[in-house]
Formats: sequence, C-alpha cells, structure tokens
Amino acid sequence: MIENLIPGMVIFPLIAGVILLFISNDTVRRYLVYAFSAVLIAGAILLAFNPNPSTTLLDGLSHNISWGMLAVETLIACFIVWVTVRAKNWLALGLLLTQFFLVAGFEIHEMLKSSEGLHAVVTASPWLLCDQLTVIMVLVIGIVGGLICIYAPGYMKEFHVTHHPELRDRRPMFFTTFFVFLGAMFGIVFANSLNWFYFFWEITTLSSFLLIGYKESPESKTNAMRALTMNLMGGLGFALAIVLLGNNGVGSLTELRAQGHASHLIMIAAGLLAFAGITKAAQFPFAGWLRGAMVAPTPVSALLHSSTMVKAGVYLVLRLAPNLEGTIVGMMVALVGAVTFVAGSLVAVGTSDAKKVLAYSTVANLGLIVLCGGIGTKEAVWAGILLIIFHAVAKALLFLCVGVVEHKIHSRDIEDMAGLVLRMPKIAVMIQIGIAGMFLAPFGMLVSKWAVLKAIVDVHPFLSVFIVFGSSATLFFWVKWLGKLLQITGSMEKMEKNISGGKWIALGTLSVLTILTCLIFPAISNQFIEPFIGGGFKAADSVLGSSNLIVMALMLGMVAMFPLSFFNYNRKVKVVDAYLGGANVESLDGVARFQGSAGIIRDMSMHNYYIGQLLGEERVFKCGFWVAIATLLVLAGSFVLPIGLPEEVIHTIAPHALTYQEILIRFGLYLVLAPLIGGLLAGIDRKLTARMQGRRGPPVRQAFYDVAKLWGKESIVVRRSQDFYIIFFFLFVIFTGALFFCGSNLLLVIFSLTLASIFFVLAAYKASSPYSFIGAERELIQMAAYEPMVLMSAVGMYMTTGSFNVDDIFLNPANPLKLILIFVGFLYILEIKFRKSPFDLSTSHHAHQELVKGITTEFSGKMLALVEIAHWYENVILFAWVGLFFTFNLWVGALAMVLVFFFMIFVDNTFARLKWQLALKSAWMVSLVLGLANLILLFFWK
Amino acid sequence: MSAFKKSPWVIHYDASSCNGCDIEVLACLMPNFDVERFGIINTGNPKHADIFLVTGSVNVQNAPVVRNIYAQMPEPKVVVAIGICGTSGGIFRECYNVLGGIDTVIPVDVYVPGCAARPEAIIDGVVRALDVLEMKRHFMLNSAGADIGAFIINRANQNDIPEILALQKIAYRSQAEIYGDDSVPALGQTLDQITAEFEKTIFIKAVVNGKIIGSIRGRIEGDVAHISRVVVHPYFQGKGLGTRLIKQVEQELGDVRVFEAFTGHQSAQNLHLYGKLGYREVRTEPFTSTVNWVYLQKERK
Ligand code: SF4
Repeated sequence: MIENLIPGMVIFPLIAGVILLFISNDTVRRYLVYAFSAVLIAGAILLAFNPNPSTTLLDGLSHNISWGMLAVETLIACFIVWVTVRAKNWLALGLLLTQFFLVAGFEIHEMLKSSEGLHAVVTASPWLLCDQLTVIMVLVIGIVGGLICIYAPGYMKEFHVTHHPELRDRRPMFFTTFFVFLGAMFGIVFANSLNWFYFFWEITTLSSFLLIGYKESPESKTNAMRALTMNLMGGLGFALAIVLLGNNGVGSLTELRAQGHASHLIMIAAGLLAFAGITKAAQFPFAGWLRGAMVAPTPVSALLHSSTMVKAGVYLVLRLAPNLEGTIVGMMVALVGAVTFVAGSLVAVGTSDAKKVLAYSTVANLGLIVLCGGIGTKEAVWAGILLIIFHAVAKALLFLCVGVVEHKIHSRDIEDMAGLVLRMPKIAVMIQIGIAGMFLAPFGMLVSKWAVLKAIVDVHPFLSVFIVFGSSATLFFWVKWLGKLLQITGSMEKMEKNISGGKWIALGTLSVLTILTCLIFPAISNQFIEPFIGGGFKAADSVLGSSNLIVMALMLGMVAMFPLSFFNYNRKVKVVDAYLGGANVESLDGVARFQGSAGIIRDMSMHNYYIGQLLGEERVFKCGFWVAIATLLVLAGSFVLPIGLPEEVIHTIAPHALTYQEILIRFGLYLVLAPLIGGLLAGIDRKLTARMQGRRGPPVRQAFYDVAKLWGKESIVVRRSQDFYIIFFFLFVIFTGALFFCGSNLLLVIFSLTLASIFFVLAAYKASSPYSFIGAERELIQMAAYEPMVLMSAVGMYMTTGSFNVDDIFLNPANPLKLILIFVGFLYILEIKFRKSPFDLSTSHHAHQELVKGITTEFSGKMLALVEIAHWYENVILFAWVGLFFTFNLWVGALAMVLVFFFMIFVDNTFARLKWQLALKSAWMVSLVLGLANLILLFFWK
Repeated sequence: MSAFKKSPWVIHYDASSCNGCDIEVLACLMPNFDVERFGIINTGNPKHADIFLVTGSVNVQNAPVVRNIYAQMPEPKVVVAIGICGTSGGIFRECYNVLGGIDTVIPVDVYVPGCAARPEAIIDGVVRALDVLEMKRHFMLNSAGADIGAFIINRANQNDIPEILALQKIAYRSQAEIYGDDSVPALGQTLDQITAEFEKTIFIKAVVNGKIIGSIRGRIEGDVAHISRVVVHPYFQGKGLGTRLIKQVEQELGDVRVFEAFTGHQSAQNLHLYGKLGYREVRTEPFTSTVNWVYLQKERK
C-alpha cells in the first residue's frame, strides 16, 4: 500500500470528488466528506513517516498517462473556450489558445517521436519527486485542507439554508471541485516533470474559477473571469518555459535545479516560471484577482486563496531558488515580493472588511515568501518554507473563524466584531490565537520574518527597507483588530450556539496547530527543512542561535501565563463607568450612554482609524500595481543584462557567551537601578521644563512621590481584565530591558518591546472608553511610525559590526560616523518613543485637557503607577540604545546620552504638537530617506 | 510625611455662575503661581485626580456631571468648593434652576470663599485639602486593617443624628447611581425630618475610632417590626458589618411576630444580605418610574 501512496494521494481525492458529485443527501454527504478528509489527513501523516516510497503503479504506464493527460487538458481547454467565448473575454481566450497549442503541440511532437512517452525522451529523471519540501507541502495541504473540508459541510448548509436561500444549491459540484482541487494540489507538489506540473496547475486554475463563480451573481462571475484571465497569463509563462526548456533537454524540476545559472536561456525560463508563480501567488500587479476571489464562500477562501492554491505559486518560486540566487532575475522577483509585502500590508490598514484584510495580508505574506525565493540563499529559503507552514495554519484558522462570525452576526466588518469576547468567547479566543500567530512575538510568523530580515541584510541590505515598513503596517492592522474584539460598550447576548461539530473540530485543531507549530518548529526545521536545503545548513547556527531560541521559549511561556490571570478575576476592585467627560447617563441595560448636545441621550460607540486620506485602499492598491508593473518590466529587460551578481560575504560572529552568574548580576542591577535612574530622569525633566518656563518647578524626586501616592490609591476599573494587560505590559518591558542588558539579540529586544507596547494598547482597548480608545489608536499609529527606524538602526548596527547581539556591538565598536544618518533619524523617532511634544499624541504630559489623557485615561492608582514605572524602564533602555551608537568610547557615549536627554527636553518645550497624519508621514519620510541614504553610505564605506 | 501630601493631582470643573472663579483656578495652574512646586498637576481626568476643585453654583443641568466626576475619582479624594457661589450659591442662589452650593450635590471638604476667590486663597484651600486627604488616607488604611470585632455597635442618641445623616448621604450615593434617580428618599432627607423620625424609631450605630461608619433603624408597629436604611460607609463595606447591624437591631426590637424590611429591586447587595439572614420576599410595590420597593419578611424564632 505504501508503494502507491503518492499516486494514491493524487487519485483518491479525484475519486472522492466524483462520488460526491452523485450525492444529494445532506447527511450522507457530510459523513462522506468527514471520512474522505480523514483519509487525506491520514495519508499525509503516513507520507511524512515514509518519505520515499517507490511508485510501482506508474511503471510501464507513462505513455498512456501522458496521452490521458493530454485528453484531459483538451477537455479543460474546450471548457474554458466555451466560458470565455460566452463571456466575450477575448484576452483570456487568446491566452488560453496560445498556451494550449504551445504545450499540446510540444507534447504530441515529443510523444510521437518515441513510444516510451514524453518524459523518456526529454529527460531521464523521474516524473515524481518526493523530497522534504514535498512532504511539508503534502502535510500542509493534507492537514489544513482536510480540516477545511471537515468545516465545509456545516458552513455550506448554513450558507444555503439560512443565508442565501435565493441561490441555486450546487453543493455536489462544490464538494467535487473541492476534492478534485485537493488531488491536483497533491499532483503539483509531487510532480517533477514540468508537463505534469503544468497539467495540475491548470486544474487548480479551473477549480478556482469554478469556485469563485459559485454564487452565480454578476459580481462573482466577473471576479471569477478576472481570476481566470490573470492565472492564464501565468499559465502562458509556464507554457513558454516548458517549450524553451524542453528544446534544451530540461524537462523536470530536478534538472532545472541542477542547471543553476548555467545559461542565459535557463535564466529566461526560470524568469518565466517565476512569473507564473507570481501570478498564482497573487503578487502585485496581479493581486486584484485574489481580492475579487473573496466573494466565494469562506471555505473556498480559506482553502484555495490562502492556505493551498496560492501556495503553489510560492512553492514554485522556492523550487527555483537555486536558479535565482544572486542573479538579476532573482533580484527582480525578490523586488516584486518586497513591493507586494509593503503594498499588501498598507492596503490592509485601510480596510475594515475582515475577509479583505485577510486577503491582503495573505498577499503580503506570500510576497515575503516570493522575496525569499528570489533571494534564494539558504537562510532565505529556510525562512520561506517556515513562512509557508505558519501562514497556512494561522490564516486558515482566521478565515474559518471569520466564516463562523459572519454567519452569526451577519457581517464581516471588523467594526461589527466589537465585544466578540463576550458574544462568542471561544471564537474570539481562536481569532486571537490566529492573529497572534500572524504577527506577534514569539509566534511563528514573527520568527520567520526575523529570519527573512537577517537573510536579506546579508545579501541585499536595501531590501530590508521594505521589510521594516511592511512589518510596521502589519502590526497596525492586526492590533486594531485585536482591540476591537476586546472592546465592550455594554452587555451583549451570547451568540455561540448552533455551530456544527465539524466546525468546532476544524477550528479547535487549527488553533492547537497554530500554537503547536510555534513550539515544535525547531524540530520541523531539523527533520525536514535543513535536510532539504542541504549543504550542512543549520538554522540554529546561521539564523537563530540557540540562546535566542531559549529567550523565545521564555517569552512564549510568559504569554501563555496570561490566561492564568483570570483566576484573579473576582478581586475586590471598584468598577466604574468609562470617563465620558462627566456626561455619563446611568442606564439599566449596561450600555454606556451619554448626554449629548440639546440633552439628547446617545449610545457610546467607537470606531477604528483606517487612515483613509493617507492610505486609502484603492490608492495604495494602485501604487502597488504600478510599482510592480515597473519591476516586472525591468525583470523582462534584465534578460539582456549580465546575469551573476557578486557574492556577498556572510558574517557570522558567535554571540558573546555569558555565564549564568553574569546574567543574574546584570539582571539584578538593571532591575534595581533602571527605575531609580528613570525616575530621576523624569524628575530632572520636569525641573528643567519648569526652569525653561521661568518657574521653580517640583522637587527632583517628584516622580517618586507621584508613584508612591498612586500606589496608595483605590483601584478602580471599567473592565476588570484591563489591569492584567497592564501587568503584562510591565513584565514585558522589564523583560525587554533584561534582554538588552544581558547582551541579547537586538531584533529580539525590539520584538519584545513591541509585544509590551501591544499589551499596553490592548489594555486601553479593553477599557472601552472613547478617550482610551483614541489613545490606543494613536499609540498604534506612533508605533507604526517609529518601528521602521528602530529596525533600521538595528540593521545599520548589524552592517557595521557584523552582529545583532548587543554584546558584540558593544565589544566591536564601529566608527559612529558610519551610522550618522540613521542616528539622526533615530533621534527623530526617539521623540515619539518618549511621547514628547511634538509627538505626544497618545498621551501627554502637557495640556491635559486635549483628549484628556488618551491611552492612560482609564488607569488609576496602582496600575497608573505601573505604567509610569514601566516608562522609566523603557526610557533607560532607549538611552542605552543611544549609547550603543557610540560604543567606541564610553565617555563619548555617556556624553551623547546626556546631550540627547537635553535635546529631547528642548524640543519638547519648543515645538507644538503635530497632527497624527503629519506625525506618521514625517516619521516615515525621515526613516525612509535617512535610513536608505545611510544604507547606501554603508554600501560604499565598508 | 506621606507621598499623598506631595503629589496632589487636581481636576477642576466649573458648575455655571459667572466663570470668574474658574479663571482664577486656571491662573493658579499657570507658570506665574507655579503650583507644580507643590507637586500639583492639573490632570483633566477624574480617574487620575485626588482633589476636585469645583467652582460655581450647581444647577439642574450640571449636577449630574459634578456627581459623575466625583464618582469616578478613586478614593481617597477631597472636594474643594471655590468661590462664594460654590460655597452657598452666592448671588445666583435664588435662580429658578440653581441648587445652591456644591454641597447640595456632593460632600465638600474645604470651602474657599471669595468673589472671585483669589489664587492665593485657592492655593491655600488646596493645601488645607491636603490635610483632609491625609486624614482620609489614614481612615482608609484603618478600614483595610479593621476587623468587625473592633467595631462598637450600640444605640445612637440625639447627638449622633447629624453624623448619621451625613453618612447616609455618602452611602446612598451609590444607590442613586444604580437607579439613575436622585429621588432616592434617603438622599433628600433633611435634618428636621430625621430628627422627627428619631422620636419614634430605634437608631443603631457602628463606631470606629469615635467616628460613625454604619447605622440602621427599626420601628415597631403592632406586632410587626420595620427595619430600614442599612447604611455602611463605602470604605467599610464588604466586612460583614451589615449583617451585624441587622442582627443587632433585631435584638433591640425585641418581642414582635415578624420583621419586615424593604429595599429597591435592583439593590442586589441588600437583597442578598437579607436573603442570607432568612428574609423572604413578600411583595413588590412601584415607588417611582425607575425604582420598585421590594418588601421582605422574616418570622421571629
Ligand atoms: S463667586 Fe463670584 S466670581 Fe466666583 S463664580 Fe461666583 S459670582 Fe463668579
């Protein structure tokens, strides 16, 4: 049985699909689908344990199979001709006919030459391929796809019976296409022969077309047609590549890989194949079809348009990595990915439709993987494969959750998901897991993003600019969504009823998998990814470093403790209303209300920022479109240019090892001294400010008095759990400092600090008061504003000292002039980080009437004291960071810190507050211009 | 000296009148007078504030706002009424919509008279308020440490009546908030009315350090004993004091057939308390549009 596992996995879903076509009874279908999915999952797991089964079934049949495939291809082509003619889509028709005749003509020509079948002529290598990457893809397709199938029957029943009774019930066709598609996906990842690959590739295009058009509404029809056209463009590229390569004796992926960058022709073919991958993966400028695909029922979006089919595109690009590495073609592919990552993330900021947000973030993440493939180094490929795994699991979970929510609250607008923690607690937790999995330290996606950043800085430091801006946008839209789930404006009814068992199984398993993949990814890397990459590549040495893994495990442990805090839920605290400028009106139903103008009583309501004027969905989408078009044109042009790029030297410096005693001593000193220094600095700040205004000002120790007083005040809250978020904010700030002063990795320090800030923002969201809500949004904007520059300064330090580790940077002082521009940019965002005027948007020490106190409005007593102390710790870390620019001489470093401190106070008292639009824009401009200029400087000044 | 006296954060609110005093308050907060010398910060947010500076004569329109802001400040907190308007209603006292001084709406700790009150006087008032703040802080610490054995519970006499009335107003604030209705009778009671009530009723008080922090009253009509107004100072709530007060009044009322008590239908705490002591609901009567009285009875064993 094991021998025929591979063909079995392709053929079984096809048979299952055909069976389902004839089943119209709902219950029978449901159990059949469960059973088939279970078989798929089992098959995938079985394969993982027997990675290299032989394929006896196919022996001697190849000729017939090739003819059979040709027949099917012809049928598909006829079908597409029919639909395109009916839709009068002449472009698609032309694309289809060209590629069909190209491929079919080539195949017939080759097959007639030999009775052995096509592949015996073109190539001696096997038709099928089953290495570790295949196994990973099979696991993703089998398990995630299987779970989505289990989810689907319940969803589709509700879809037709409750929500769209007006639609024609075409469920048999739906499930058939679903399973046929899965079979084709297995086919793609098992295929070694390019013709086979192409065959299955076309089937997925067709399935996608059928499923997007499932609703048969005019909108879904046009969107399906658009998807078909764009995918056919990719198909044409593929067909051209097949013919080109076939004429030169290359007919399979393994042969192509062996060719490396042998000739100009190979590079052109690789470029064409990468182009096909880019269209399939919905990269800009082709991202439009994926956005349109969201009209399809949710399981389709989850299966085809996030976790599997679009992954086929990036899978192909990753397969091409050895050809692309270090070439201009590769560089262009990487650029398309990078542009897509930034544009996709930015567009998602301006969108409130949950499915669209997921679609754009899918596009963005695929961009990241394409970027990895284009770079093509070992580290990059490692990161790309990890991204595929993490993304598939977490994104499928999110899509399925949104599907459930949409059916219950009749909307998929994020704004309508307010208070989901009360209305659908379990689903809300799952969404939170999914979102955390998408971007939060220490979860999977972040690990991979980190690896990508590292891989890029070694090869193309300029591309890191895309990563840092893209990541900051990502952070913005995910946290916004998280906050919305938590926000509660009144008592709400529970709606978590009548969700079918299949859905719960799928959702539960995916949630567990999201967490599990984070825990066991070192093992996955060890077992599958490293052997695949080969050449003695060890991720632990060249990408992550084992000490960092320990730190991340620690962080995961801390985050995991969060649910424990709910045991403390019944503490005695006074619960009062949110602050509404004193205009609160008491109400019996728990909905917060206020007395508006003319005595009218209104419900309180809150809305997220979507930065419409700055990042309108359409505008950014268009920008991404044109930039990507330009890049693709250069890609086309690059074929005439010389191909190789000089290899860059990869620095790896072993981290400076600390003993446990040293760590403990440093940690202890930091724990005690940092708040003392921070508090004192706060006092000096106030004293100096007073002197600048010509008054005496408070005593220098005032900050300590304030905190001591706050500690003695009563605890009042609006929502009981808001305090826990503050406590975690506090813990993570301390943790960040500990990492920094124990000489750990700078990127980890940044991620940990971001995580801390996110807890702070979530606390304010949770408090559900308009002032804290706006404060939270503005804090998020500020985070998005400073994040790129902070990351860029880490990148700069890496480039001058060869290491991300604080200790190494400290011990290998570089000429501070090398980073002078980044330093200036860093000063700019430091004002934001210190929440000083002109950037004190989220909460301020001046002019307290404006928006009251923003993010801290609802925190009083001990919690406010914790916030204050956390800021002291944070400020100490930031000053130390300033010092890190000047490690060549301790005194200069100290002097720099003092000067920066005075400079901050001076600016604080001299400049008026900016609007948030201007703050964000200017911070990004400064980061982009100075950061990039400095990277260019470093490029020349080695 | 505790940090409380060194870090008084204020919030100011202008409850109508001519606005003159509010301008003076702002003048204090400006660099010329530099109150930050004393650690004073204008927070603009009740949840961060320790001292509430209110100016103007409260009117019908803004009374709820004053009350909301007061309710949202964390304990210990102090109220300073500024200007003669804030003290007594001043020249606006007779207006049709004016309620009078700030103390008609919330408890006031320090009065700063003057028309307009001078910045020096206001600063002086705040400094006085610091002592009150410190006192309340000690009171709060006491309450945290106090165990119910330490309370002295006995019959109240005529001299205790004003103090009990003041306590009643503090404690019933939270009731008024539950119902969104200031017509809760306990809040509107005057000294004359309560003195008249004292003639026919047994008053019990709970005392700690010479201060009354809880009370209850009972009256016998035929063979039914009516128990009403369980009052416990907010700092001392949740310590079992209510139970002890009810038991004490039952004992003092002596030989009757049933005990009857009543409370608002949404006062979950009170309903729970009576339920725990064996009282059962007997009937509900509407009182106002938002409040229904629930009557509870218990047979004497
Ligand atoms: S006391 Fe005088 S100055 Fe102050 S508000 Fe009243 S009328 Fe105006």
